[in-house]
Amino acid sequence: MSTPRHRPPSKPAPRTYASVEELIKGEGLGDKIQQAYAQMAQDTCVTDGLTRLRRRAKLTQADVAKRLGVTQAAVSKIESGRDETLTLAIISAYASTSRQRINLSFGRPLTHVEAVKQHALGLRHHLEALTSLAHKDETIARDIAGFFHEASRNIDQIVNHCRERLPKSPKMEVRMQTLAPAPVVSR
Amino acid sequence: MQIAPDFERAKRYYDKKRPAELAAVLRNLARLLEQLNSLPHCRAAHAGFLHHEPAGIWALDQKGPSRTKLQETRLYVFPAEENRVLHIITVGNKNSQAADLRCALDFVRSLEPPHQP
Repeated sequence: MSTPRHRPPSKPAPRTYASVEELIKGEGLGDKIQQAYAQMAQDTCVTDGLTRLRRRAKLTQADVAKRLGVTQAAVSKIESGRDETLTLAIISAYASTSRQRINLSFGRPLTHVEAVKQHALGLRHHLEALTSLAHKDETIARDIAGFFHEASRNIDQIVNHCRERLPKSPKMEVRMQTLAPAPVVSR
Repeated sequence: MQIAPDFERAKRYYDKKRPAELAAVLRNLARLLEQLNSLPHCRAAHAGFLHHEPAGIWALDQKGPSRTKLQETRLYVFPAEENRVLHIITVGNKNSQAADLRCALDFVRSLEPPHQP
């Protein structure tokens, strides 16, 4: 009879997480921490966005500070602070220094249908502007015609792709209404 | 990110007694992670809440977007450059700073390969 081999207790594998949100869930941290963390994330979504924008543009805090006419420490304070401390001048300085566009919107978010309608109106405005531009020069007109062709194909593709993914609807009932027979006209 | 055993005990205390402080240092950890992911080397990381300690250990403080005054808190982490892992070692306040740092140093030494004669 063989005696059971004594195995030393195995070391538990270290827990690994890809993000802090995963860590909070994985470590079973309480509701208070989750709420406080979510509140902080909400309070800093714009400042975090500005920091991301600056880093992507490979700019330093000193570059933004120069544009704003403040010290680098002041920019550091802005980036680590809450959104409510921001001013339009600060946001504008970040946009111009990074040469990027920043859109801010307040209030009720648009529904999907409203957003599609708003984009469609914007699209129409820009396409009409290109059409009037095409009347000024023949070369530009050719380019714009090519662009219209490409844009129309892309938009069609997007709409068709989404339409194909719709759930299959029950077969549409086709009702034929028989009309009264036409009177026979004798020649 | 990898969790060190010492974090377990500290985490339980902060979860019960100082949740806002732990949330604040974790928020700073999220900001640091975002920065690290866009950098080629960990050494280039720089932030107001980041303090450099001996042996390459970093201490993240609680300063930032909290609405209330928080107790001074430090989250000790260690970036392992070779495998791009950030070890979360422990968390503590100013009173336990010396002991926390010793614990962090011990942890970092335990990561080093054993010396071969």
